[in-house]
Amino acid sequence: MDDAGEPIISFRGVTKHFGARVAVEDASFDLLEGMTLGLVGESGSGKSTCVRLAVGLERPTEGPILWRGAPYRHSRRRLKAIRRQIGMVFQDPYDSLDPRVPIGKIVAEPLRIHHVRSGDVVEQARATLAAVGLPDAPLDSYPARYSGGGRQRIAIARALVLEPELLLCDEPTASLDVSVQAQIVNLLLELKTRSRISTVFVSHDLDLVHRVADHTVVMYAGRFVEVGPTDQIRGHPRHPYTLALLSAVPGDHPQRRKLGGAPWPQVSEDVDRTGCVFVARCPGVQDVCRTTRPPLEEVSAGSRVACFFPLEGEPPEAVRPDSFPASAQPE
Amino acid sequence: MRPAPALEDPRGDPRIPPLAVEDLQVWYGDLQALSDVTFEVQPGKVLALIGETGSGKSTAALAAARLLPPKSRIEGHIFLDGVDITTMTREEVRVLRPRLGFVSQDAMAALNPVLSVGTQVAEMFEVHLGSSKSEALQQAIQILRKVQIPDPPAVVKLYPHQLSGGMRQRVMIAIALALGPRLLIADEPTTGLDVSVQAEILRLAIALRDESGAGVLWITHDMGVVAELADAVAVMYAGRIVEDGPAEVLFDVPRHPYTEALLRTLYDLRTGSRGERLYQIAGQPPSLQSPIPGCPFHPRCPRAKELCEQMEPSLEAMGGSRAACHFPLGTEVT
Repeated sequence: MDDAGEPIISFRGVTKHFGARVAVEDASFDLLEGMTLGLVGESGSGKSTCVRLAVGLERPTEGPILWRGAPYRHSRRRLKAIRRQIGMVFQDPYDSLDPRVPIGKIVAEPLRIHHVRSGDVVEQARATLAAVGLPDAPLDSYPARYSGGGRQRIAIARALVLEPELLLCDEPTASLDVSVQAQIVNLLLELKTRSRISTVFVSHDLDLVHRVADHTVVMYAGRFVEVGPTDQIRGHPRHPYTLALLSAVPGDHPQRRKLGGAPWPQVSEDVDRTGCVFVARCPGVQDVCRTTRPPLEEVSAGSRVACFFPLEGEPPEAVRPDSFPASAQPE
Repeated sequence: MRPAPALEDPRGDPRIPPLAVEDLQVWYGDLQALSDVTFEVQPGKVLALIGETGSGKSTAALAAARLLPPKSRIEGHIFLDGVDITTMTREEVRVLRPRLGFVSQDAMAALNPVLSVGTQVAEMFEVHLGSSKSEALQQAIQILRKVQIPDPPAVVKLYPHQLSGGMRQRVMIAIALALGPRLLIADEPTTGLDVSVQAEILRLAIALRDESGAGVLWITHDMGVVAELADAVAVMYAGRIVEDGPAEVLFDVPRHPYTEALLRTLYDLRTGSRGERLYQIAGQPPSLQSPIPGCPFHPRCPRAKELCEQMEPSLEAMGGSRAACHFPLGTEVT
């Protein structure tokens, strides 16, 4: 953790359009070896598109994506080589596992696809299942036998069986019970201490992201609006949208309710991209926000915010410029 | 259509709970999904049913709305607005539908994909109030405005897939509220939605409850949602209510170790540090397929003793709430 290595994957001004819709705009970050990057924002903010771009399922409209410093070339062979290094875990373990295939085969499938012949495939599947907390799972059992948490472990085993360098988790706990969420998050935390794997953790749950992510990117309408060390983003949010996200988390006692008051203005999905994309909801909006796009600028050590009027908080305590590696920092 | 069952319309009578469930048992084939479930929803109040997958909370919600699949078997009593609907025929229940609004988790599945939003909302007014097509459309626009859908005259022309998840859930709520029900049942309506959208739906629910005075039965697995919304809480485990009472009492002095574990999960999530393991309830959720003797929570319970493996505890009143536990918290002799 303290000796984060080279960037595994980097975005350099990556933009993705779907027809006229801008899904991701000018996204830049480095994810360093051994680090976990949290990606938060509401649905439609571009989080999942970032994941699909990272794994090469989508091609950027603009801007390169680098794997260990070398640009992706979207040829089949190059992509297959990169994908061998990327494990993916999806939201719904009921959708992502084929119910007709025994779990041993599910977990070993990537080995077959990538023609990994070294060692015993069965042994590898068994060892990987043990590593995700299913040491006694019979390889010939079917997904139906497992609960949501068990299935998500199987999905994680499949993602890990090739010993990838990067694990992409797209809302891995959103469809699970709270008690099972904890198991999956704890499993990810264990993986992090056991290996040098880098992880992208996409979620709309800031509490969960806070547990696992060293750095966090907050996305709104396809743009990175705040990027920085997770503790700082959660403790001292500088972008009004980050603050809004934090205040939307329910309280923990009927006497500490947070959600009274007026509802947020509902906005149409077509966001004006001339200025700041958050203007329709921002309580502190000024004229300049409508006409000029705020650049993502450093406001405090390691923290970058795309806002002309970032929130003033107390300075983050115990954060020195050299106390965390510069992963997830935009160029 | 048969005339409505002969009964006084008790709408607005505060003495009659919008929903009362008594000793409810539900079986799916040989599997017992609910055992002795009893609760009441008061007018203008929210009762939250909280539990994990398989706890029976959704079965209770579906049973209360008489929406259980045909193969299920039911015993006990369900009173909607004081009327026993347990053994009513489909047609008889239909007549009472206007008094009950139901919002399910999956709005995409609940809405008809090939009908416009306007048609689906307006249908409520046409069928139940006999409104003309154009009247019904106006009423639909009005109710959509009430659930804070922007530009309702445009939205009525859209189809469900053209709306975001949060908007679809609002349309569902609009349909549920269209006829001014006495009872709103919401079965995990915010699960899978973004926190910010969830916050909006919760705010909306609170506002509508206060305005309409309807009773609300809210199903969730999230104690945070309970903290925000609930006046009263019933904690479900393995098809039973293991603790119930006023929300503040349960949060202040949980009696059942399972309730306490749920609360610890929530506090830990909100206050823990980065990189720290999350508090995790030991063991696996119970399975309907293999019920165990004694207290259903005993394999996961840190306080379990021999008695807990042998005898199932019943709900007992203690200091403002009720809990089904042989060794409840906060009652030790010191």
